[in-house]
Amino acid sequence: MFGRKVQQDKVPSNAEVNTIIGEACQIEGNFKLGAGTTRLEGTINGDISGDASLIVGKDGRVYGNINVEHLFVYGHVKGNIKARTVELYNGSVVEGDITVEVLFIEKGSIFNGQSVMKRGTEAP
Amino acid sequence: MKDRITISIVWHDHRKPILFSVRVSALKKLALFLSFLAFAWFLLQLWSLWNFMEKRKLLAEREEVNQKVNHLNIERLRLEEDREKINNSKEKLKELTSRIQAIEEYLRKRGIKLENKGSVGGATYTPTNDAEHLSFLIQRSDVLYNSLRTLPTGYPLEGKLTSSYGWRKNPFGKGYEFHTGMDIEAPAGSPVKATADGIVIHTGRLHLYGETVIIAHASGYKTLYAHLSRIEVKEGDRVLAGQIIGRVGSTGRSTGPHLHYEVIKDEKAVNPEEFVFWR
Repeated sequence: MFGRKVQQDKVPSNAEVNTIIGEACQIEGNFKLGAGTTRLEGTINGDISGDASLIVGKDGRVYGNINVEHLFVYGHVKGNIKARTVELYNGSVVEGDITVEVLFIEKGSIFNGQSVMKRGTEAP
Repeated sequence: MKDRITISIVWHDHRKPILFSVRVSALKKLALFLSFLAFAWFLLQLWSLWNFMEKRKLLAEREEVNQKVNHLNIERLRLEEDREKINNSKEKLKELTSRIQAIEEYLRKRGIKLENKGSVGGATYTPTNDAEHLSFLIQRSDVLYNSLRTLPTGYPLEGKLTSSYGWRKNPFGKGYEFHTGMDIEAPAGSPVKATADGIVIHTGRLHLYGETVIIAHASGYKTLYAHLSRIEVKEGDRVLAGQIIGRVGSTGRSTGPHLHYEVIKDEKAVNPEEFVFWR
């Protein structure tokens, strides 16, 4: 519990974007996030993991499981999601289960799956 | 490729990243241009600040100048007033000149000899300015005053006029005689005063006149005071008009205490009443 709290401070949800996976980029295989925030505008066929933030842009596509600290979705995710915070915005599509501590879903988001709320840490 | 950089703007929301690459040299030029702009802007600010200060200074100066103009206007009005006064004074000065001229003229007609170093209005002297004119007039009036003081004026004694100048009945016997002066009756011992400034040229008994004082005046006249009981001046004395020269008495050919007063011009007695009563 304490460890996670310390980690939460180390990984802010508003860290600068230092990785862009551009439009029409396609990654086949698992992807490990670097420090800061990664913005995905292309497609990843594989799992994504890392103690960092991920923004899935409008044209971003993920076919695989996601296990990150913070996830912001504007595009499509097909797979299970495990994160501390997940925010789904208008136009986003998620097909899969979400295990999360803090969940935000904007009007116009599509979420098909099961959500499991983890408890034990305070909201950010 | 090598001399280019990419500038990217990545949004944290739904908007797509904006990426663009530029040539470094162009960027440098841009930076140069921008810094030039900044410098120009700075100069402009400096200039407008300077302008502002200048304007304030000018406004202050204008205010000052306006005040000065106001002061000068007031001063001018005052000067105009003064000039009017001076013009009035000039008029008065002219009048004064003509008065003094008239007095001089009158005295001359009466036979008074005035100091003649430039009489008023004479062709021999032309004053160059008002101040000089004024001091000249003062000097002339001094001359007139001093001349006037040498002219027999008024009574030598307060008393009753008992006999005038001219033919009269002889008070001691029969027949007529020419009376050369005027007789003024007064108690013995009354003070007799000189009628003008002058020098005593005679004191003492003078035939029928008894104890007599004769004073010569610078105006050319002489005055004679006769039948005195006492003489209080000496020959050669300089006497002033109004000064007591003796006392009334009845010495000489006299019927009682009185003063016989004569005014003499060119060794001839003239009518003293002309000097007692001014016409």
